[in-house]
Amino acid sequence: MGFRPVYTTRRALEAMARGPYVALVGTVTVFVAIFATGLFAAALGGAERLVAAWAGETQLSVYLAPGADLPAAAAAVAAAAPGREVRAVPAAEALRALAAELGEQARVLDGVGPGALPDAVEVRAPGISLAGARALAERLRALPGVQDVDFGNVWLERLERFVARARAAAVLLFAALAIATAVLVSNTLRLAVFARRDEIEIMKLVGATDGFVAAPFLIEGLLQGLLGATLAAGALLAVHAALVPRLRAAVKVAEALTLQDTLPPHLLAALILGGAAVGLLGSALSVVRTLRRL
Amino acid sequence: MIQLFHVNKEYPGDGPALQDVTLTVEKAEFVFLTGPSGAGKSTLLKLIFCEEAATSGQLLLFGKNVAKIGARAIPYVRRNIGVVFQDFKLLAQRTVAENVALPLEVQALADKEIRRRVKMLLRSVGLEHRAEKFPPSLSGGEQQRVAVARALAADPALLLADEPTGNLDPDRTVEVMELLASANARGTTVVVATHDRSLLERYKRRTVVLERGRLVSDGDSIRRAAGG
Repeated sequence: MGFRPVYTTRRALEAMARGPYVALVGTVTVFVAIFATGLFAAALGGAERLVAAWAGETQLSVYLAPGADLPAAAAAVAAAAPGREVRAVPAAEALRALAAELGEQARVLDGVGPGALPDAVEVRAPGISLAGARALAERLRALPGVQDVDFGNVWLERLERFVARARAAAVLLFAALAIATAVLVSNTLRLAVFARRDEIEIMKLVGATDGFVAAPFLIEGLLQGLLGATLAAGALLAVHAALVPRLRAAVKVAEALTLQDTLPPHLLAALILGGAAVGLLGSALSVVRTLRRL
Repeated sequence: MIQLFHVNKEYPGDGPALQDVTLTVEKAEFVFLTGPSGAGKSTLLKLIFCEEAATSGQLLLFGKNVAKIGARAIPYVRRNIGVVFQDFKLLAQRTVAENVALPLEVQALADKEIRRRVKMLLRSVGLEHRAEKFPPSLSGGEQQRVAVARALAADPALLLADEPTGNLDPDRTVEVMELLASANARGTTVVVATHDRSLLERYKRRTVVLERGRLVSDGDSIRRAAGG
């Protein structure tokens, strides 16, 4: 006898209607697990986007040795950093910029001559990684007439370390959440199977095959997983809609943050399918264990 | 229909439940299986129903050696066997009609055919008007009649009944026994395990007596001996 999807689904829905509490517990379990997983994934996606936005402001300053030829150094820097925006900054211009930045406190610069600051070449490097910035700085440092290269490596290193740690934590958290979810769902659905062991026993007494007995439980697990995960995806979209506008208003770099960064369609699809798979797997584990005992 | 050859059944840590039982039940026979509590009646039914396996000896069912029937084939064997239990084993959350329909659903009959047969079965046990009720709202006699209707639903070749009247008053006992007798009259082989002597006296049928797991008397043999 083959699998009868309509009959089996009807039996699964009837069973869920007869035992709504157990069905609700299964759905809520999947909801919580998928919501927590999705929230973390969305937060990580958003954080990476913000880090990329910060990295977009990265600028390398190449300070020249006294007496170095600024136009020649700028040309050498442009050759060493192809595709990057390069600008020569004479010492006098740097001093004016510093004075403008200091505003009313610019008086402290009274008596400071243009020779106090070195000529410099600025290189804009949007989106560059820490490793890329380090390599570029090394190349620039080796150019003739270059005294030092600064690329704000302290904060960039901190950001990179933060993202690397967050990625490692994400892997661990995803693994822990996946195991915890499977165990929780399996145990919850085992309660559902256990609550209906009389029905299973009687089914087998009247000649039901294991497949016939198990099929509605599997459909129930699948439906609960699908429902819980879909609700979790909806809740995540609601959280995004509520939080991101406030974040954009509070932090300038968050202006570029979109739904594509936090909850891209492939992540939502993976969460929903993952929830359905966890429901199906948990149900299968439970029903197989029960059938073996009967 | 049923053939047992020197069948033994032992449970680990327990004494033998059946010892050297040899017995043949022919097609369309009505057999009482009797004896005191613990005599092995229920164990024998469990072996016939493929719920448990014999420790030694051979059991042939419908001409097939039960020991050689694989686990996957057992459900299909059971579809030829109806079982009535003393405790009814009805699903409390399903209606009377749904309980009776179970063996038919298992066999993947069409919904229309299931409805037709359930209606006919419930009419035959006098419970057509209770079709949409749930078992807990029925009397013991009514519940047992539902159990008989379910056991007969798939038109089995063999009907096993384990103390089917154990929880019933005399009037309800007669009702249930009449149902079993009428199934037998239609050609179904019926084996009834009971320790109720009044049943044996009222219904003069072949009676197999078990004591401490041994077959100590077989009415068929007695009749043959008396006739010979």
